[in-house]
Formats: sequence, C-alpha cells, structure tokens
Amino acid sequence: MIKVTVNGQEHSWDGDPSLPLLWYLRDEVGLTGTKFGCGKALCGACTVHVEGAAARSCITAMSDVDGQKVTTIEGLDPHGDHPVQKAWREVNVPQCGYCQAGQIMQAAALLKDNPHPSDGDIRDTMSGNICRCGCYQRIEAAVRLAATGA
Amino acid sequence: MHGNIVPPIENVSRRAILRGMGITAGLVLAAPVLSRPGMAAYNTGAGAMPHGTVNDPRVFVSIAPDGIVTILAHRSEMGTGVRTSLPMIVADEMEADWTRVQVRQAPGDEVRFGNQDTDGSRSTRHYLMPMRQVGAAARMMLEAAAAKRWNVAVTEVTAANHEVVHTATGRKLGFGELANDAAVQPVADVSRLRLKDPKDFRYMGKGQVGIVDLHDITTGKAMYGIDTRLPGMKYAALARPPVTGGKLVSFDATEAMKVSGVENVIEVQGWPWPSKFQPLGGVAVIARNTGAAIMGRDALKVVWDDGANAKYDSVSYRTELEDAARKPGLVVRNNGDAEAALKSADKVVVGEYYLPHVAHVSMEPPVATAHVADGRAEIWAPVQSPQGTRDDVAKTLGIPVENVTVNVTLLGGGFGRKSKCDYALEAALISKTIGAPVKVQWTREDDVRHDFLHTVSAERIEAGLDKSGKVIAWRHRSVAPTIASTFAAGAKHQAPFELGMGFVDMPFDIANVRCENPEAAAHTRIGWFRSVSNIPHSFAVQTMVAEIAQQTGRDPKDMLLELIGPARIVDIGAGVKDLWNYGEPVDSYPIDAGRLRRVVELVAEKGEWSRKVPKGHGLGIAVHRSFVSYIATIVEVAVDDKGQLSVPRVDTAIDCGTFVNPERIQSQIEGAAIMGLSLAKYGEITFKDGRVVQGNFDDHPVVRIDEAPKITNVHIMPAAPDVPPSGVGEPGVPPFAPALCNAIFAATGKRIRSLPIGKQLEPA
Amino acid sequence: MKKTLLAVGLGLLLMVSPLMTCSVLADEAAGNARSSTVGGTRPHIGNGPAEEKSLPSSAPPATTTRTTGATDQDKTVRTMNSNERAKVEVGGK
Repeated sequence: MIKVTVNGQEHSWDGDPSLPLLWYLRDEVGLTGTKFGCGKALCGACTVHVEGAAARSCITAMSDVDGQKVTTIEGLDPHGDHPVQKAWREVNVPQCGYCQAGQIMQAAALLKDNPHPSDGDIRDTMSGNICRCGCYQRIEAAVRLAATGA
Repeated sequence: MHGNIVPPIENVSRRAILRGMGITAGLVLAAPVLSRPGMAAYNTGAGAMPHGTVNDPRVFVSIAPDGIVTILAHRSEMGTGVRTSLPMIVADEMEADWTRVQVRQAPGDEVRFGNQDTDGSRSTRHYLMPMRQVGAAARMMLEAAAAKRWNVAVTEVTAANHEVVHTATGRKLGFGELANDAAVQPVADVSRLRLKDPKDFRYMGKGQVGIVDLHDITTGKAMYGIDTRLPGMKYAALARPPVTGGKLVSFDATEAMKVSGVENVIEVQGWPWPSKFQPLGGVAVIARNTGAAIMGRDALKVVWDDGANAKYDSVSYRTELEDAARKPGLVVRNNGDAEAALKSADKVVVGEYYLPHVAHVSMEPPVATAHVADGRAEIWAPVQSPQGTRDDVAKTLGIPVENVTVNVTLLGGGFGRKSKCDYALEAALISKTIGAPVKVQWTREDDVRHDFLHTVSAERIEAGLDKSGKVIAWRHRSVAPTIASTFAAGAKHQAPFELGMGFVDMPFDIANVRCENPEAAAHTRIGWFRSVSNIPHSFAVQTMVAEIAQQTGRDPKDMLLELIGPARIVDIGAGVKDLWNYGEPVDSYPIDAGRLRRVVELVAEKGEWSRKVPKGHGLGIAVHRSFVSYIATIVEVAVDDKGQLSVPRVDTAIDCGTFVNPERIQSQIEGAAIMGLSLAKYGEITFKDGRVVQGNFDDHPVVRIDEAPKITNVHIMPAAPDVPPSGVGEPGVPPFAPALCNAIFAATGKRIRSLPIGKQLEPA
Repeated sequence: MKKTLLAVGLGLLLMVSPLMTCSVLADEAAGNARSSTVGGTRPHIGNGPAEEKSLPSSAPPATTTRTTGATDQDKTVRTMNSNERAKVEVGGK
C-alpha cells in the first residue's frame, strides 16, 4: 500500500506501484489540472511538486512518492493567487493554455529556489517546458514579473 | 438520455477586465474604426460555407433575472482567443457589462449556430458582422421591453452598460429586470438593426479584455478534451497499423491482460485508405486508468499487413519530387509567354527548394470521450469541426445525426490536426463495443506516427531578367501530394485551394508568369497544417526574391517592392482558371498590391530595416498574403561559429483589415514566429519502410523558450472603416521561415534552400 | 547540437534513486532533447506495442506517380469522401 499526500490530503494506492503519478492524479484522484504531453519528461506539461521540488509526474512511479507530499496546480494556492498565477494573468500569457499548469508549477519551483532569477536563469529553467502555441515571450515576462513585481 | 448520468460540461466563466496589458511588446498603431451603423460595407464568403451564418440573438444570448448575460461561443477555442472575441463583439454591441457576461460553449449543431468549422482563419472574418447583428438585435429587444414597461416610445430609451435608461426621466431598468419581457419581443429584421457607432465601442478594438478562460487555465480548472470524466468511464489506448493503408492481421493480448488495471482488449475496425477521417483500426486496450491502458497497449504483440505503402521512403521520394520539379507539369497559371521570355532573358536565376512533412504536435495529443448506448451517442472532444464530427459519428455508427451530441471542450492546441475527428470515431466505436463510456488517449508517439501530416514538397522557380535586371519571366513548379488524396485515391495534383495559397496567386508585377504542378501521389495521410500550402509556396517565392536581389546586387526590401510593383488591384485575369480566394469574394477581398507594399514599408520602418547589426548577425525580410491578410516579417538572426542560430528580434507588420481583439492578434503573431522557427529549425517527419521514423519531442524537437526570439514586435496596420476583416491565426506563419533564412544568408553567406535547417550551418 | 541537460527545480537530488542512471542514459541517447529526469524513475511508456511484425511485403516502391489508395470503398465512406472533397473546394480550410 502506497501512501501519498496530495494537496494536503492523504491518499492510499494499492494498485500498480509502477503506475505513473500523472495518471494516478488525473484518473484515480480526479485532479485533471496536471496535463499529459509526452510521457517521457520532454515537455513539462505534467510538472507537479514532490516535497516542494518540480517533478515530471509522467515518469514518476507511484512507488517513488510513497510517504511523500505532492502538490498539483490545484493545490498551489487555495485561491489561485500564487504570485506566479497572478503574474500569468497580468501578462495574459496563455493561448490554448494546455501547457500552462506545468509552466506555472515549474516557475513556482524556480522562484522558491531562486527568488531573483536572471533572464538566463529563467530561460534555462523553463526550457524543459514546451509551449507549442509559442507563449515564451510572455512566460519569460510573467516569471520576471512574479519575481520582481515589475 | 445521457442527461441523467452525464453532467454537462460547464465551461462557464465569469470575466474580469485585465488591469493592463503592461508587459507586451505589441504596438497598436491606432484604434480601429469598425464599420458605421448599418449594414456591412463588405461581403464575405460566410454564406457559402456549409450552413452559412446565423444572427438570431435568441440562439446566442440569454439573460438571467439576476442580470447575468450568457453568450454562446460556437467556434472552437484552440488558442486564438475566439471564445473571447466573438462573445465580446455581442456584449459590446448589446451594451452588456463584460464583468456580468458568462461564456458557454455551444455543442456541434450548425443548423442552429451556423458554420462551426474553426479553421481557415475565418472566425472573426465571417462572424464579426453576424455577432454585431446578434448584439444589436438583443439590445433593441431590451429597449423595446423597457419602453413598453414605461409606456413610452422606444426612441426615448437607450441601453447603456447593462441597463436601459429613459432619457427624459432618468428611470432605469437593469438587463436582468427586463430579461423575461425582452425575450418575447420580436427580433428586428437585419435591415432595421441599429448598429453602434464604432466610436462608442467599449471592448472591440481596445485589447483590454483578458481571455475568458484565463483564471481557469492558471488554476488548472479549464476543461480540455483530456479532462472529461464520466461515471463508469473506461480508458483506452490503441495500437494502430504503422503504415498508412495497413491493417491488422493478428494480435496476442496475453501480456497486455496481465498488466494491472487492464480489463479488456478488442479489435477496432479500420477502413481501407483513403477514408477521410475514419479510424486506422487496430487493437484497443481498455483499462481502469490511462496509464494502465498505455502500459497494456505497450505489452501487445501485433502482426500487421502493411499494404501498398510499405516502401514509402522519404529519401527516394524527395529525389523523385525534385526530379519532377525539373520537368514540365500541369499548367495551372499562364500569363504571357514565360517559356519564350526565359529563353530571351539576359540572365536566369534558378532556385530549388525542398520542404518536408511536418507534424502538428499540439500539446494535447488527440483524445476523445464517447458514450454510445441505445442508439444514441454523446461525444466530448477537442475538435475544430464539431458538426463534421457529429456527422461522421452518425455515419460511422449508422445512427441518425439527431441522435449524436458533440460537446466541444477546450482544445489543447489544434493547428489543423483537430479538424480531423478520427480519435472521436475511435472512441465511439469502442464505447459501442464495450457498452460503457470510454476515453481514448493517444500518446505522443501515436500522435507523431499517425498524424495527418503537412505535405512534403519540391519547389523550383526560374526567374528571367532583362539587361536592366528587371524580372520579365517567372516559372514556378510546385510538386506536393495533395490533401485531396485523403479523400480520393488517385488525387495527384494540388487542389484549387492549395494552388491558391501563394502559388498561382503570386502577386508580382511580372509580364510572363507560368505555374506548373507536376503530379505527386500520396503515401500517407496528408492534412491541413496551420497555413497549409502557403508554407512551401511562400518559402520558395520569398527566398527567390532574395536570391534575385543577391545576384543583381540590390537590397532585398527594395527588390521586394520592385517586384510587387505599383499599388493596384492585381488582376491575374485569364492566367488562372477559377482562382481560389480563400472562399472570399474578390470585390471585398481582392489581391491588393498596395496593401502588400504598405506592410513591407511599415515593417521596414518599425523594424528598422536599415539598422546596422553586429558581425555574425543578419536581417532578412519576407512578405506574404494569405487568408486574405497581408503580413511582412523582418527577422534578425545571429549565427555563432559553431553554426548555432539565435533570434534576437522579430518584427511583423500585419494588415488584417478591421480588427476586434488586437491583444490576441499580437499573441497569434508572437506564436506564429515560434511555430515558424520550429518548422525552419527542426520540422521534419520522415518515412522509412512506410513508417514514420520520429516519435516524440526528442527526435522531433520543437522550439523551446531558450531558443525563442528575444522579442517579437507586432505592428498592426490601422484599418479604415470599410476594410473587411481578414485572417489572423495562420498568416503569421508563412513569411517567417523565408525571412529567417534570408537573414541567415545576410549573416553567413549561406543560402538555406531546404528545410529544416538542422545541421546545415554547422562547420563541415 | 548538444544541449545541456536541463536542471529543473533544484530539489532534484531529493529524488535520486538507482533507476535514475537509466533515465539519464536514455536522455543522452535521445540526442538534442532537453529532457528532465527530475522525480522520475518510471520507464517511459507510450512508445507502442512490445512486439510488432509485418507480413512479408510485395509492395512496389512508393513513388510520386504510382497511386496506392483503395478504390473499392464501401458506399458510406465513398459518400463521406466525396462530400468532404466538395466541401474543401469551397472552404479550403
């Protein structure tokens, strides 16, 4: 039996321990904010926080998160008002929006570890997250805004 | 019948006005002036589309007693902002307060809503006026209801900001208080509608309204196709024939059934190719969650019959395409005598170009949910063609179309892939077989390997110049398998709509022009990809312009303006039989060389074409008319000594006529630069033994944030009131790759004639 | 083009496990992809059936001149095809 805390709530899983966390969150728990994009940790759409660190849930097995705390986009902030979320809205970042939960989770992890990232830091860290619509210019601006308030 | 078990997808959002658009690089040159009160000053091809347009306010607008106005969005949202822009037109015209407006997504039903095919960069172009009419009619019904309540003439009352005011006495009634009375008022005939004076618009043309799904997207609540969940729903992943036209011979599900969570393995019917958007067939693994279904699929053992395309090979096919472009082909445009003029020319510049298949790879891979039972079907899917999906589900299941409901979710990207509903048909067939609701999920590899790919093409242009360097002859051959091959075996020539995308409609002021289209049989599924055949045609034409400039020692921008010639309406005349004009009437949407010139001049000015750039940098320019819009792009590229390129700056000028949401125009153009850069740097799907070689973002990369242009400036041409609206979603893509490659030439002296750029710039 | 492996989130060391090595190798094999192994030990799923075979093929080379599609479609598909073709002649997409 695997025990995992998701957004502060404890869950247990007695199914396949190799099931990717992504599909557990989406299909078994019903938290669909975390998205599937590649299944191979290439695109970042599935990014969540495990013990506060950004992790690609598509290649994270349930057995990897036994006894750990997972945060998804739904749990990032109770009112959806994390500085990164607010900055995303301020800059009107999304086009189709599908990748944005992963982008936001990645950006939130970046700012937690590095509250004042350089433009290079932002580009490096966010380069694991693909946006096919091409919102990159605004993503960079939004991360900067969240970090500096400007 | 599903109503009791299936909650409707709400997709309802309450809006707030953005506080400010602050951090963007766009530039709106002037607030647009939309057409004057009264009827449209222009015609569009909307009426010729299947089911035309509907402008009845009772179809699109409802008002609750609490004053909340609900407006239906009937086009699919895949990132263009249309789910915001069209309802915003209605709200503005009816004087609704946007903060008290909800947007709900309409299901597929073109008889009720008019055409819903969200493609061809058509939504604003075809629906600006019908949506204004919807809003105006709704406003007039509210005014009539108020006048009746107060027993005054309707001319004495005015709707303003969610209430109706009696001017003389200052009495007011809110929209909510008038809702019931307004609903029974007659709908004014279109000829009697009083449209707002454009100077009174509060939302249109301002760019200050955020997209309706913004809050839901940033909090993970937005509902895409992948997010549908129904009681008792199963999850499915499929193994499909690896070669187009192949079919299942046998399969062994022993290991698949051992995967924890797998419940069932079934065969899914396929159709002989070409079969439009029908499923490819194969084997479906049904499980309790998506992960289990995929793991089960991955444990299958399958034997295929590859069929007639088993030897499709991109290397040999390319050679054939290029050979074909060197020989005469079907003449699709002929003005003057290009053959003779080429012979008598003082100099002939020849360019041969190659552009490979490209995959869409929307971030949300194909996915659909279906519940089929008791002769009815309900679908939840991210589709660009809701009614087309409905029709196809009905035909595939053999049930009446009235028994099919298609609920349109948000699309996690579309780019043309989601105009083809094969994934929804798979879900319908599987649900029917297993007797339960099911969600079919494609993996990224499934998506890349079973796409309806952008065509592959060889382009060859010969330009004949006289002694003064003037271009007197132009012969362009374009060879590419046609999208029509997806509907008809044996289709070997580009269809009129492909020819009309920047090939036979080439607007240059050249006396002798000949366009030929040698045949090219397809060996995989070919489909629409954002901007379609404009990509190869524009690449060839716009690279050729720079090649001529280079060989005659002229500035590429000046060369471009010389070739465009004087401001005029371009008359191709008898040169092309039945010129396709994006389905638009030529009186409202002619090929206007003046507008083409002006976007070149605008981008040259704002993009500082004459600026000095550092060593290793270069500027390139390209212009293209597509989807009846005019777009010019300047790219600044930097190429280092290892051949790695970066893009410090992009400037794009767009003339899309009258516009509604400049902020979303800006985002579309920013995104088009990224997509253009992706297809230029990396975009390539190849075939070996009939199979797609690539599978995921590792061997089929797309541009990431660290390669993105540092800044994309968007310059929107101000529009006169009588200029009809034109496309925005697609037109940004075609000029990007040629502008980039022209910039690379300026930086390095190396001419890129074949995409993707790949390793071509790396030192030998 | 060799890209640096992405370091996503700085807490990645928390997540190291014996299988991590395999993931990293897989990523390097993938060439220029910027992938992340953060958090992950799960082998990649989604690539397709474990074992796929094809019957011996006698198909001739797929050329630009030889068409290969079936012409014996059933009536429903034939109608859908011709309707769609007619539709794109107008709309084009």
